[in-house]
Amino acid sequence: MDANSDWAYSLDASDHLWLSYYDESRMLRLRDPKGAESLLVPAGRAQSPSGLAMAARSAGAAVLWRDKYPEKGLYLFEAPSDEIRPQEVGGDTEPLARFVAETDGQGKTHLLWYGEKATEASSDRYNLYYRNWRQSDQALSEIALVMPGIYPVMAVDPGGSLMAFSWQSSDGPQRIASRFRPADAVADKDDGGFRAEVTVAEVPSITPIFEALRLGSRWMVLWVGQYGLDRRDFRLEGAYSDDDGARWTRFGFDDLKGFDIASLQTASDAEGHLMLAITARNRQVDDRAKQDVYLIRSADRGSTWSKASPLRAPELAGRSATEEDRNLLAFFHARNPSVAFGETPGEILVVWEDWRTIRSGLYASLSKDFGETWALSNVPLPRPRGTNLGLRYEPGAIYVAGGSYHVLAERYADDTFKSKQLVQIDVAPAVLSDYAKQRSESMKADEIAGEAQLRQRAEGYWQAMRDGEFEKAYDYLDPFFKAVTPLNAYVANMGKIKYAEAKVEDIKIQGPLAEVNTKIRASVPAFKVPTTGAMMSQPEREALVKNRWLWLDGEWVNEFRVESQDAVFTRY
Amino acid sequence: MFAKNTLASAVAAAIGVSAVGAAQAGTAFWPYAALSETVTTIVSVINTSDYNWSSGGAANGTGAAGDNLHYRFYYKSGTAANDKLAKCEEYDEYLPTSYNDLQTIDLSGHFGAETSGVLFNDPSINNQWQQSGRDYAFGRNVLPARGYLFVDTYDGPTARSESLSGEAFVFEFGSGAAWGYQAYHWYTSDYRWAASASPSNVSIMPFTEITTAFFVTPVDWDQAPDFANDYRARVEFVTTSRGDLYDRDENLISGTVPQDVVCVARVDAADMLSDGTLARLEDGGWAKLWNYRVKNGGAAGWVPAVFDPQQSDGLSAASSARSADAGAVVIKLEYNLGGTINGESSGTNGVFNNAIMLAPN
Repeated sequence: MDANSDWAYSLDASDHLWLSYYDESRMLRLRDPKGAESLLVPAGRAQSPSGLAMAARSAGAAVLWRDKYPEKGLYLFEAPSDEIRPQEVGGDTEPLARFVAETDGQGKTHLLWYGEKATEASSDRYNLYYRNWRQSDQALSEIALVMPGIYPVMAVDPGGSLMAFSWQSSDGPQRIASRFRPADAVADKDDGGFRAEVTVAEVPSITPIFEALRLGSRWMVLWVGQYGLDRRDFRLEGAYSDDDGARWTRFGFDDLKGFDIASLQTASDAEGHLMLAITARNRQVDDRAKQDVYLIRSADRGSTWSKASPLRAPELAGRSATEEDRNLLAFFHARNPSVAFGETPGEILVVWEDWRTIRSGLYASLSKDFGETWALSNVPLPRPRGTNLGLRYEPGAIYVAGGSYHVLAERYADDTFKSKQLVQIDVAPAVLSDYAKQRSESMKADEIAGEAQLRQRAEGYWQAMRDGEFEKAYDYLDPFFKAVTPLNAYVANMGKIKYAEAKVEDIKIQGPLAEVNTKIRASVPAFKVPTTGAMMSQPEREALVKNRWLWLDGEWVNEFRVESQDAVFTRY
Repeated sequence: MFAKNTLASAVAAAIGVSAVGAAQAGTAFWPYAALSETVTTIVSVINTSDYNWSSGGAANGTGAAGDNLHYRFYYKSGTAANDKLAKCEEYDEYLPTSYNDLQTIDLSGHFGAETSGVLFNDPSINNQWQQSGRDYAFGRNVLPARGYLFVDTYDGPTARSESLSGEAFVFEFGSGAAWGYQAYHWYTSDYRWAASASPSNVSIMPFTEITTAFFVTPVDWDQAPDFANDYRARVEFVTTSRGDLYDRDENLISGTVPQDVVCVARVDAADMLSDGTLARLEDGGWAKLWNYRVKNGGAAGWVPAVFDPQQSDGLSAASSARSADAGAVVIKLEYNLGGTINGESSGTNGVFNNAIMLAPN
């Protein structure tokens, strides 16, 4: 798959995994539980599929996508099926590629999307539309215009009622609005069976983080609002209703004020426990802060909440974490956490993407008391040396089937991060415990080499630069730079500077990061400016060069930096 | 803190030539310059006036006594170079010129190190610039720095000939990547008209492959203030109603983040989005980019502004961002360090870049 490609999955009643994804040619494929794949839009004809949603079916899955061919529409396909014959469900609403699908306990699949058809029925060009599909009698309801908006958000009750939400930015104050649709609604009425619109909260601006939940008899909606003229007062907020949306109780997470949220995944159980796993960083003062991962817990369906707890903790062999250990994690991104309840009451698993080793890997923590404490904390999941494993902001990476946790992760083909493959990692609690033991045993072997080895590496690099042996110097550079810059391209750009002397002055190591200061004497021999043909040169002079070195895959490597753009090829 | 030759600037201000002179003079404005150990900005200044300044800034008119241009380099350097809200300092210098003169200068002094930053001139002829003993490489001692250049000349007692013009060439001599632009020119220091159209439609290439940044330089009634520049402007994506833009599939997505700039700064397009938006916009898209001056509204913070000659700071609060005046020159820069475009080899040995100066209305 292309690194940016969408994918989605659903579990049928037997917990079998149905997976759909866009391949490297942007062809949409469905993979059944046995691994057989089919193209959802036949090859060899014009097609432009985009967007993707899946809904569970008792013995299969429903897949929804938008295509501009053979005509612009929204297409629904139910698997298994003897032939690929999707039905167009978007009608004349001019659907765009953002939609949701969810199946209730009666087997009815509810569809909500947004379209751009100009209509007298709405003052806004963008509106949410709804219809449902009943597989038992192949009945498709009429299309209902629900309300203006660009984000189709919905929660569905097992009994068949649903709550649709939208952020409305025109006509009056910007707001989150809801419309309830009871299970026994008459679909062919003008209102599509929806009750009147209710304002949930006035919110001037939101980010795309906007989710709806059904928790027993409670409806809940969560969003990230942006406040202030500079829209940097980010607030993760929500509201719940216990009377089918007649009244809403609004809440917020004050400890996260100013924190921009990149991802939100939720999990809940029948007893009212609710977990929010988020990617967040404080942008009030700095756009450069690294992302971190947090868990927020509720034991009463969101009436009260815990503070946001950081999920990351330092990995240490045989000693307690210091403040410095904890601060070090702030140098590395962590993102896209996913959370799931296990089959044992109180058990939850959290998995996230973490760059603390310069490469991206997955880390997991297991709790047996609803996330109050961690029985296993920050356990790295297995990853072959030299590879990168990541998670996407959606869908949630963890699913539970057969009494065990399974993680769907993205493994990048190489250090260019241009293509990826989906992989499944099985993480039963006993397996995670084994991973934790293996990790403590391997930590000694993986211990970061100290200053002497780094000095030797740095001196080796500078010796190669002095000798003009750029092939050797290239070997010392980080693999992310080398992945996009072949040796010949690197060498072709080198040689303009002549290094006469280089002396490694001082070294400061912090975890897998090191700052190395080297005093050099260098000159620029005369060369021709490519655009003007003029000859340029620089006399020899002394300079202090600061390089960052990285402990990566068991050795120190020099992080290549394009000084003019302050750009690096690493992604931690 | 003032750079070299503040005396000249102070004297000029004291005798009134800085403001009054610039009010009726040929002027040219290079809105962006980048200087570092590996990047320089090479500007060419074309002077078609026979009426220039004296070396002290007096309107001496034609002849040897009046053969100087007034160079004013506004810059922020060191760690401030990457601080979007840092003020600029001014470097002020009168330097020799002559009728129909062309001067090409490396502002960083990397090139032309032995000729005061002046490039390509044959020292055997017309070497008045060298005899002056003054340095044209205004950024030589302040690397790394960002800034803009403003040049003016007397241009005659009643002239409106817009006799100065020029070009800039931003050059990374490590990789050879380069881009350039034509300087704006006028007959006063009022460069409000040069603000990029607000809004301007901008396309954004995939964030995962190509970096898009905007160089933003606020404009004002007086683009050459004495000693320092603290003009503040805001850029933001608002494409329909409330901070939004389109992806490459016509989907509207909200969650944009305004960015303020004082004097001159680089703003990464990624920093103009919330993290949730950026994650869902990997392939880029297009947006209406707004730019406008802001003024300190006290408890209300920095509020959108319109130019207003009745106010001491030349600004009054606008009723909304949409009704604010365009207030900054914006240059869009796109570059890729990985030698690919659309995932295919670009054949550029690793780096390419491109810059577009967004035109005024």
